[in-house]
Amino acid sequence: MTPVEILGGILAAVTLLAGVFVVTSKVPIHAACFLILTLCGVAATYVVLEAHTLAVLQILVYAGAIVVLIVFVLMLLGSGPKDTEEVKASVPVLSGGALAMTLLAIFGVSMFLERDTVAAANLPASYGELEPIGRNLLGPYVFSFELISLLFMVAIIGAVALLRAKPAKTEEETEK
Amino acid sequence: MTPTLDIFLFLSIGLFGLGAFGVLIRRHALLMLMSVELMLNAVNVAFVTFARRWGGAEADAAQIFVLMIMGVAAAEAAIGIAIVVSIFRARGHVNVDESSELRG
Repeated sequence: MTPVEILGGILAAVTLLAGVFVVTSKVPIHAACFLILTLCGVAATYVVLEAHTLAVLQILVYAGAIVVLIVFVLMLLGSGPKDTEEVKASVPVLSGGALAMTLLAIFGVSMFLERDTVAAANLPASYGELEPIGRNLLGPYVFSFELISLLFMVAIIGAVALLRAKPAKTEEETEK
Repeated sequence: MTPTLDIFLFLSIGLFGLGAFGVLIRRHALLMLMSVELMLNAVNVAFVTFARRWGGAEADAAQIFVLMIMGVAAAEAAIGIAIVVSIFRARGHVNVDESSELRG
């Protein structure tokens, strides 16, 4: 067990445990906090896999923007004591969980029987740094860069258009 | 002994399964959105793992693709939250089990 594997094991355990709490928390704000922990665990995984810029961007974009937006909206929707949500332990839930555990156990066992995904060594010296990503974004992959900018513009226009409409006042109009 | 990256693939599968489970189980629309974010992160972990394993030109493409997935997740979270707030304005709750007028 090399240090990469041990560190990866600890990170995977922490991230998966936080993910379990995201999915099964009763209070929505608790789920958001565990989501932050999960996303930071994934960023730490990127650091172990030597993709440093992606780790920083993961923290900035996911934990720093998306989860903050989710927490804002959770506060806006107002989650009081009556808004807790229980994951009922019904038959579909338990059978789905059992199936998932079985599949994970099969994969886990096959992991130790046939070790295949070797950490290769043919990476360039500037593998996880910002400069190759910038050169690629403006070089070979400029088309996807422009498309993602178009997607952001559409998302901004869509969000503003969705939230600009006033709440429906159809009851007052039908009374008149 | 050369290290293997199977544990990161295990993490990717586990996160994806948890996210899918969360989307199916949760009734609060924002909690379903959080589970979708878990699934997208699982895919990103798989991409970065295979980029580390294979190297070369595919590693650059994998990092760019991970950035694109992050961008798509951000845009989708923004639009999804706008939709959730619109539903909340119209109904006063975001329980997807009780929002079943379109069901045949």
